[in-house]
Amino acid sequence: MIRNYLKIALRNFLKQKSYSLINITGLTIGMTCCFLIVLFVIDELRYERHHVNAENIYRVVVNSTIGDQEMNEAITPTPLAETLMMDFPEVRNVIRLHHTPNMLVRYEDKVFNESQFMWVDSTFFDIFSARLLHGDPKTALKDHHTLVMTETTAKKYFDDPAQALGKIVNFEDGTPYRISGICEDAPPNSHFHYGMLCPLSSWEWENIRPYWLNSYVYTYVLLQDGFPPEQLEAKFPGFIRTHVAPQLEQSLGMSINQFYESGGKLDYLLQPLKDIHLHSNLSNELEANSDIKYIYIFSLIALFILCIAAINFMNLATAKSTTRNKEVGMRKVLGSNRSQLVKQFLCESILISLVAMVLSIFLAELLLPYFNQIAAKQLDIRLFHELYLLPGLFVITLLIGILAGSYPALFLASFKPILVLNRSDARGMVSRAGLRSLLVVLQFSITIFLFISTFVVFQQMRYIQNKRLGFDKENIVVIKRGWAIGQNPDGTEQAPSNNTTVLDAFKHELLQNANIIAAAGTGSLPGKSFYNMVCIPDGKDDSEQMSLNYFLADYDFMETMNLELVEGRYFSRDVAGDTLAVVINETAARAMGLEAPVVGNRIGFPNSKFHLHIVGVIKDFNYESLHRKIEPLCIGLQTNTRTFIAARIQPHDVPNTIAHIEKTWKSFIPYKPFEYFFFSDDYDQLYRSEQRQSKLFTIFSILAIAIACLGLLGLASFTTEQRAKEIGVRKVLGSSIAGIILKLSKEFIKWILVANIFAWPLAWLSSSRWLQNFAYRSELNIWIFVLASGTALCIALLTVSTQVIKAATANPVKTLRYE
Amino acid sequence: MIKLIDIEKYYANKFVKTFVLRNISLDIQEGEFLTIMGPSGAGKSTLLHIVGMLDDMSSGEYYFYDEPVHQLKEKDRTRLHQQNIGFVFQQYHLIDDLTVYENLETPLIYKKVKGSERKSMVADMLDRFSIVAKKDLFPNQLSGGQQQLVAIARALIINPKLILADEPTGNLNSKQGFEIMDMLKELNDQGVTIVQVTHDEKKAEYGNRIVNLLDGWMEESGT
Repeated sequence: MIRNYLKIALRNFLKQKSYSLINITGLTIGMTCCFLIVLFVIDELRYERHHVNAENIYRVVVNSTIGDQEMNEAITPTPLAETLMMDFPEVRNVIRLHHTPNMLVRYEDKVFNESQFMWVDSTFFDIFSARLLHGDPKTALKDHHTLVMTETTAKKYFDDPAQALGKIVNFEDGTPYRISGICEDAPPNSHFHYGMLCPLSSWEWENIRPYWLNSYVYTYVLLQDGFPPEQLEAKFPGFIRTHVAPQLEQSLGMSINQFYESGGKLDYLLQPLKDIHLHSNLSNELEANSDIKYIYIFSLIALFILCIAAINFMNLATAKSTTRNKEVGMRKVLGSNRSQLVKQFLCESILISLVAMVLSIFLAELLLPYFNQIAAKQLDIRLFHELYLLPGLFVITLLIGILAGSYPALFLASFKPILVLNRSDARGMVSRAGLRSLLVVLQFSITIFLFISTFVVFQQMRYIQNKRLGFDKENIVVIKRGWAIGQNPDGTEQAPSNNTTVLDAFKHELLQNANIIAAAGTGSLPGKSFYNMVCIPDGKDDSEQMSLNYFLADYDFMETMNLELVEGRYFSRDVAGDTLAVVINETAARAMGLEAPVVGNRIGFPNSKFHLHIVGVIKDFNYESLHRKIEPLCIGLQTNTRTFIAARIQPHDVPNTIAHIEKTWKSFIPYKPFEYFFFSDDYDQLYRSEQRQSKLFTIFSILAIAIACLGLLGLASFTTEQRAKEIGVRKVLGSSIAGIILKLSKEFIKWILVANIFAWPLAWLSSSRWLQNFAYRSELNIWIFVLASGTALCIALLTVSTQVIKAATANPVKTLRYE
Repeated sequence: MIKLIDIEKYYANKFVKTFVLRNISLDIQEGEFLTIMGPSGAGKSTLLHIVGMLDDMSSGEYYFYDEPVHQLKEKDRTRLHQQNIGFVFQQYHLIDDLTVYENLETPLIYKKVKGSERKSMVADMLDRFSIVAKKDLFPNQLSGGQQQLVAIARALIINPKLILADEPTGNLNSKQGFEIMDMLKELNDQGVTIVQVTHDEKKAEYGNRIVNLLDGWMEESGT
């Protein structure tokens, strides 16, 4: 029986080529999208699964409120780990980690800047499951001045990583480190990656900062198997009173009780390792994490697209079923019962969905590199490696086949055989146009929804690009590792000569090129990290503390960044004693309750007689991403700060300008590599996840409308075919071609207009929720909705017009002859 | 074999009932060759369809070998018709997408006859109707007479007790028509009950009893 079904299915499939093609194309595209998204989602959900102890590893994070600023930080004080281990028996093991983004490592003549350099405790390999390829995991990180590198890193320095063991490399300051192990690369789905691991005990700051109020390291704990983390968390308040309170009291000048009473907060929390990637968005994350929200959004999109494709399938099958009702009637006369007919039609739809699935596997394989690029992933399709994948795909195929085929099957099988057999015109039977319209409306609701969302994301991205940030982000070249300027080869500081620092000399040399307008050394840049301090505004007492972001920069910072001054002055070489001067932003002035003239006020500190003098107020600028409101900021002066050296350049002749900068660098420090980036590129990284999202959104919504239009095309060709006789009669009766086109298009227009009713409110809700992520956002404008719907309508009309025009211009004599 | 009591068939809309059949009572004995005659629109085909269980009656009782068809569920009705009744139509109604062989095979598939048995039954039937050479052709590659031959073969393959023929020769030329009628007569001689609908006097005479329908009313005229 099944063979008979398949035979019929195949013949029908070949006989109605265009229908089959539309069905399969739509379904293939839909399934491919879905497939890729599912791969993406699975990958996102599988972070940290490679650790044997994944279930029992937690990261300790700090949640604190000082003054009115709440801070959620992924980093913790240095002594925390050790103390936890001593105080709590349920903590089986601990590991601390400190990330150094720039570490110059030299082996013989090979010098590389290692950006994934980690100082770690020797327990690293006990807690995390990283396999050591060479060396002994027990001892690899035990000794001072040893180093473990990953295989990939080792390949940069050595031809054969196996030979690396025991070799000596030198750090920037010349310290020799012995390679004690080569480990596997961290898998892509880890929340942090490393190229080199060094014992934390070799880290120079380690022992000089046993402070509980400053956070420097990431702390991970391994709990006893199955130990509930809440129970440990419950003990933290006591722990804080014992260990942190003394230092807190000393530094803030108030007891811990007073601190709590004044609204202060300090909590340690445990984050399950597996949740970090999707559920953690704290300050100082090791790498930018993803968000579970995106998982939901993309899963929903996958479902949407699949839904659109399935509806196509369903609609076309029901529509074309009318051409098959004679067969159905005859089969019933021959003794088929309903269930046999239903099975036959399901067989056909499952066959189509199977073909589509096989095609989509190939297509997905083909598109995967591009998808990886956009999604910043390293996905691959390993059909036979994953136990669930093939059966899963098969089940999905079956489900789609059944879902898409069930309605036509039930519908066809319910024909009264006599009714269909007796019609001389087998096509005259009108299938449920009502349900079909409903499904098309549903399709277009989804499509228009995706369209509006895309437009909103786009508008917000444009808003971000064009928003006046308060500084000029274009045409700035930033030199990395600027601290090398003025350092001797052994890492010691060169003494300033003739009252000018080496930095000044370097800047002076840069400005010799006419294309370099200004240059400044600075400790931070917009989008980078800042220090934070607790201070007390002038004239207030110790209980009115507030927190203030700050960084240090030199005399030329304001000019280089094109910041705007609203009051007072910026630091000047002509004024002596600017070392205690600061410039604050408008928000800081407001937060301190200062009225103009702000200049002349002072900033105090708890428990201290020390003061800073405000010499100027700069206009607010977005020194953090637009996700966040502008916070109080203060800039201090340091003439030889040079984490970054920023240079404002002319937009033309950039390669030569860069060459000049490099030449200057080489003339100052021939033995250190020159590295730079364009500030605007770096700043745009702040919105990388949104940009990625907007790209994917665009692609998927285009695909969605493509699939929906494909269905529309099929339906249009079907209805015009079905109404050929009516059109013929109308033309004979004198209707114009335009009139007929209008008449035929009207129905499609109606569907799409109705779809807006569903799409708009939903899109409004979801878009405004998405925009909430930005402190600075574009307004939701009705025109976006009109534009999105208009675009969808135009595309749909263009699609149907080919069929409609063909039908309207057909010679009526031909269509009527066969009656 | 078949007993119809007071069968009525009408289509009702809001205001009027349009009657197609009125008060039809009819007994059909096993082995009979019954002809239903009447002008267009008299209700002949409807009556035939009701007898063949393809259509429902509006009221009345229908017994098929003492089984009350009017009370049966669709499933049981399908079984009854699947086992006992073969149809022949004026438009042949072969399935266009299936070859002659497959057309013959289809009713057997629905009857859940085993594959090997099916093969021999189809082969027998092809043999009997001398259409072996045509078994791989599709219906549209055959002449009308040949198509009707296949249709009859298809009706016969389930060994029906009853064959219902709705103007079986209506689309054929006279030579082909008489050949088909001879075929039916021969089957009747072998014991198959046949009910045919026609408005051709000559074809009607093949039967041994004639029933006339006019505007849904029945009058019997013996032979």
